[in-house]
Amino acid sequence: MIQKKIYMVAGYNTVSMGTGRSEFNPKKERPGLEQYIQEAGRATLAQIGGAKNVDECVIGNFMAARFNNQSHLAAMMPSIDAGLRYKPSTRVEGACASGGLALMVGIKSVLAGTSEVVLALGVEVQNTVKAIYGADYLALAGWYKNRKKGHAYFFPGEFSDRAKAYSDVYGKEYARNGMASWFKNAIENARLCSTAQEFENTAADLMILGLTVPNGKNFVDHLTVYDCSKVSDGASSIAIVSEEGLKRIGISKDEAIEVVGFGQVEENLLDDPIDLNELTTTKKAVEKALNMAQITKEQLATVETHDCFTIAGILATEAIGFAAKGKGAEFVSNGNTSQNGIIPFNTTGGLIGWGHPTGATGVHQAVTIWEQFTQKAGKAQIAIPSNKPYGLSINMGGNDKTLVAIVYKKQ
Amino acid sequence: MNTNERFQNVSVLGAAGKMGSGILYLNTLYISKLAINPENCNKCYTIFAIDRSQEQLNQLLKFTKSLLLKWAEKNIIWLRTMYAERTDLIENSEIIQAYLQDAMAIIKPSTRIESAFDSHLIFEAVIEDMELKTQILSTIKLNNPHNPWFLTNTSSIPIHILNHEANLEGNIIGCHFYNPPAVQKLIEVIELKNGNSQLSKLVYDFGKDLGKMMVPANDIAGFIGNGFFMRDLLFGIEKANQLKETFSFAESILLIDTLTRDFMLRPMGIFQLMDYVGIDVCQFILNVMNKHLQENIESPLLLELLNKNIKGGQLSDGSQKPGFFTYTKGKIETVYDYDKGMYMPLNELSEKINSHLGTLPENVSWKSLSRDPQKKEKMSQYFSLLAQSKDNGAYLAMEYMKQMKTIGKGLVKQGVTETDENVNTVMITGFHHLYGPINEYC
Repeated sequence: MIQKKIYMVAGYNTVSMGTGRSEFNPKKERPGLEQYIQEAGRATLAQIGGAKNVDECVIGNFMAARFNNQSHLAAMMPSIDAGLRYKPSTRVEGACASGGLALMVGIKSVLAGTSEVVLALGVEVQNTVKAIYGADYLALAGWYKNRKKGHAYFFPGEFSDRAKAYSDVYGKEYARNGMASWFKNAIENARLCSTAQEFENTAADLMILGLTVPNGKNFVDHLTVYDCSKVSDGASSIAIVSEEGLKRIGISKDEAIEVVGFGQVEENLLDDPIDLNELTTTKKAVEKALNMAQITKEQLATVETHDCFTIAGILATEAIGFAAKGKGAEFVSNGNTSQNGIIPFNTTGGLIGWGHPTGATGVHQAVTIWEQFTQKAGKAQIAIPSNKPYGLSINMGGNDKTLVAIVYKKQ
Repeated sequence: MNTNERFQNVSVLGAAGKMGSGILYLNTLYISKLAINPENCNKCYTIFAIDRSQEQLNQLLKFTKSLLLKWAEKNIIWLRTMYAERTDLIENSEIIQAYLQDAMAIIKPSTRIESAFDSHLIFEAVIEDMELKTQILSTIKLNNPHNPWFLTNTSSIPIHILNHEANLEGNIIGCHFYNPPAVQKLIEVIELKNGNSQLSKLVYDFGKDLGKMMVPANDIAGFIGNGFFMRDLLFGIEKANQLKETFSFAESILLIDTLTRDFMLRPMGIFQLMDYVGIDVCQFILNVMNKHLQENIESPLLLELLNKNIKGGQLSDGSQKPGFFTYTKGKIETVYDYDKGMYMPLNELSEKINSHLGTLPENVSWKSLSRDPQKKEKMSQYFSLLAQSKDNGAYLAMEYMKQMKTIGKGLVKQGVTETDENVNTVMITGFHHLYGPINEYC
């Protein structure tokens, strides 16, 4: 159990920019890394009384060194506001869990008492190169010695293997239906959130798209583009504060969410997955987080999970325990994860619908739960039953390697 | 010598030209796929890219590389398998760059015809001039000790004439690419009677590997594509002439162009198409056809325009040169008035034209229908409404379409091709028409 009160407050998401957004034009110059960092950072500062109230900054980013020819992102934080100059700033990297790690660094700093107010931010700007080269950069989240034998689209290849294993054991049609249903729900939720990359999606029949048969000649053998998260530019930010910090920024508790548990878990990058049909590391992270929060999954009102691929969404429902092993596809197909289901997942579309600016995703998940628990989710708002005042986020780096699961409590 | 061996030394003549550059790219693609296959690692492949200007050849290499890059990016999955044994190449970008290097190394630019004396296959894509073609082909035949096979891109000259004049002993085939060859799917294949059957097989295999649609045409001047297009343009000129009493030259050209584009749902009007191909090129082709066919295929108008140095065609940046029209960003801006010897602004002419033509029976266009999955149904409806319309434009369009059907049927009757379907395929694929001229709409 966490011995100290820790809150998150003042979240902000930029638009998730990329294909799907009508304003996106790959041939025209677009905002760079610094603009995204500044937009998100300034929005949070504006809500918490300015940079003077911040003790420390953390920035999560995966691969700016290659996407943007930029490293040393900690030193970009003072570009948000001159008031952040000469304050501590740390950049963290854990592949697609970089945002989650940023949250963890903030949480631990508040726990340690070194900071009362931490500005945590995540960012990624990926549309600087074509997807075929982006695949090279993202592949660095795997073990480099596996790259040569891996697929041209490395991570879709890795999760295509999981989709195959799932289909082989539980049935192809069954698995495909589950994945298509996950896609459908993701897009339907994204249509409710104006910053989502698929906000403007008007496709008439999402199930038909989701049921598209994969073609290994053009892409991977067992997934289609509809099974994949988006290639996105975006940033998200949130303040992580102590009780003292809340007083300092002048925000009441009911405008905040409380962090009541977390599980930060690392698996050996050099090893292949123990079981393709299980997100083993995710399972451990969720168990730790729920144990620390001293709650059961039944007390969760919503989950933001890392659906980098539809199959990862299905396996997450099993890893958390909502569905038994092999029953996740059915659980999703039956509508249990939709806005009106037993447990709404990814209420603004998740990585497939909202978008996946890799280093920002972990922070985006926290912002989404903060919005839901403070009635700021607009059209995406779900009802939070009083007997279920908890939310869970799961941020995953690589193929189930770096995991950050956080449990939040509505105030 | 098998096909693989033949492709080990190829020459492309006129490689820096509009058609030649695409043909060079397709050859580089085809041959590079052989060359990077580990099975062929001990073989040497060469393509001589032959043209007159060193400067244009330098540009050509950049152009070819840019097309190969796009291809490589789309085919990275296959390329990774080809380079699987190269442990030094790990990322997609490294494999793509290695492929580009390997593919470009095959091309040897040359300004000397002598380079072709070593080749086993000769792709000819010089300008549509029979004397020039004959001279080049016979020079190579005389000096090349390998008894090479010839593939000519002529769009009109009978293959048997080239065979005879250049003394090629039956080792020539018509392999007529459409513009731009890199992306246009159509190839018209014109075999000699009693020609080299292995060469025919080589052409069909080559086209199939490149994903092309091959349509056989018989060896009659103009073949299917130009056989149709030339008669189409002559009819367009004739119709414009008939409007002389009521309309100025510029007005009648614009009227027929608008009619053939908007009312007939074509991507461009017949006069714009002449500008696109080049009035000079059209004249070359008309000359060839007129010479070899028992039919009067000529147009004094085109000759007169060429005398005034009005040629159409494109600049090297792809923009249109002045012809019947001048263009801004691909759109017609002014219309040439032969009688006045000057270009007239479009907006001064269009009102009179449009009021004469009347309105379309439905608000559809080539653009709106070209990607519409229900275009067949929508076209049926459009043309049935067009047939019922009393507007001048509708009447003229139906009349024009009937003539197009006559031309199409004529090609089959004259033995240019065996089936109506081949005519329609060429016009749909090669000219981007939404429907073939032999249809049920008229």
